[in-house]
Amino acid sequence: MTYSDENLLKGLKEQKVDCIRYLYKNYFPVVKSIVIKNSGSYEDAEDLFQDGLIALYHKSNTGKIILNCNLKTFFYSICKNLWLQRLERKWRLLYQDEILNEPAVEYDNEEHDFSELKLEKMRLFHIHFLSLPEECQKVLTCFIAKIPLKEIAKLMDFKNEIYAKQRKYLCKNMLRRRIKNDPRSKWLFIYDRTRQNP
Amino acid sequence: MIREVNGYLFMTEQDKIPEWIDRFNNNELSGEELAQFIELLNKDPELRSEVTLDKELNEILSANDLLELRKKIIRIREREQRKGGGRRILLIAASILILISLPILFFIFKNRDVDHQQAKLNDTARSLRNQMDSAKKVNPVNKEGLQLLSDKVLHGENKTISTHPAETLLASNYSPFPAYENLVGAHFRSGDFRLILPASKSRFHLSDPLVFKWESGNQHQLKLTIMDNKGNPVYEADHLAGNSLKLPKGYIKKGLFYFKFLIENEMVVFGKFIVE
Repeated sequence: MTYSDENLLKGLKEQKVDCIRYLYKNYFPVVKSIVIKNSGSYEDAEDLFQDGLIALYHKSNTGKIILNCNLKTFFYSICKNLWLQRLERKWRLLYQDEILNEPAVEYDNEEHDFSELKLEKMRLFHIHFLSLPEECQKVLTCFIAKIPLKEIAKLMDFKNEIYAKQRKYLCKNMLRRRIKNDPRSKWLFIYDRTRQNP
Repeated sequence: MIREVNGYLFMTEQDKIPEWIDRFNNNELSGEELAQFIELLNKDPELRSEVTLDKELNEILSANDLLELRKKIIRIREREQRKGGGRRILLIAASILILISLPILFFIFKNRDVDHQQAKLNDTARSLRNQMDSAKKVNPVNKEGLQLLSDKVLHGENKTISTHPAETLLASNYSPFPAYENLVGAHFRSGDFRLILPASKSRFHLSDPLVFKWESGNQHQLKLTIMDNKGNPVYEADHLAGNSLKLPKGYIKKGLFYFKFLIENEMVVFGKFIVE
């Protein structure tokens, strides 16, 4: 099955699995070629594809996408832009002493766009959230959705509201610890700190 | 102290930090608790980073649609990779099969080739044997052999059997054929047949016609055969009539030649001549 660019964007906006699968099958090879040709690995390409798709989804939800080219080319430029920013950030971290204090290269991200750093953080947080026990995921989702405590206790079959709160703190703490113990997060937070306090 | 058992965390009452972090970011801390927490924050940079992380987590996880999209992408990727993995396993299996079968096929074809070459060699050997046998028959080395040759040529009339190949070396065309040398000048029961020309061991020029002359009372079944110095017949004539035979100039190439006359299959004269 083939989709027009318009249908694909609409399908992505509605998170239709068929459209996402189509995008994965047809657009991933392009992303892979960007990454592999520019000192990246297959895993980097998979991460970049996810980030690119989230960025495209966010773009289509928040801003109006005016396509001057076909969607594939548009997606290619998003991913290439992200990959160049990622490479630059990693190089800056590798050669901290020499170039960290130099001004970072500015790319033409629009105001409402996610930054490359935010997309990488988001992926890390999402992955660790999805690795939590199912009960933890549910409790945290309920709290994030601002469901009243009483209802959460009832939904989750907890004995009372206090216990529900305790579960929330425990799960959140578990999530934070998992993120902090992930070697990838060190790079993200070091970069954040250096940018805040050069 | 927080402990993790089977993926679940257990918190003692003394450990209020995780709760305070969460409540601080949700603006739920107040009074003495808030003052205490701010004091801790000022002292502990690690706690500060923890609070920042929690704040970012709240922000990112609040966008539930993005989390849902991530779940779908991951699920699709895993499914496609499983499919790709299946295909990869098939490819690997096919490659292994080819790798195993290649040496076997090579062995089979090599053996077949060896058999084929052996058969060819056998054929060549057989054909060489046949050629040698026929050479023995055509190039007689004694009187009986010559008689056999005469028998063979009886069936044809005035026909050229072969000519010298152009590439034959001239020097080799003049070397004597030992088996024939013994017959030259030997006495045969010639009856009333007398050869007049060519004289014994004559020399002809290539531009001269080659002339044979004889006298004979018996004209029946007179045959002439001319052989080169390898014993190959180059001219044969059955039932010769008259008393002479003239071969046009250039008919016989340069070299040493032997000739024989037979009457009723019996050798009467054996001689030789040279064409220069």
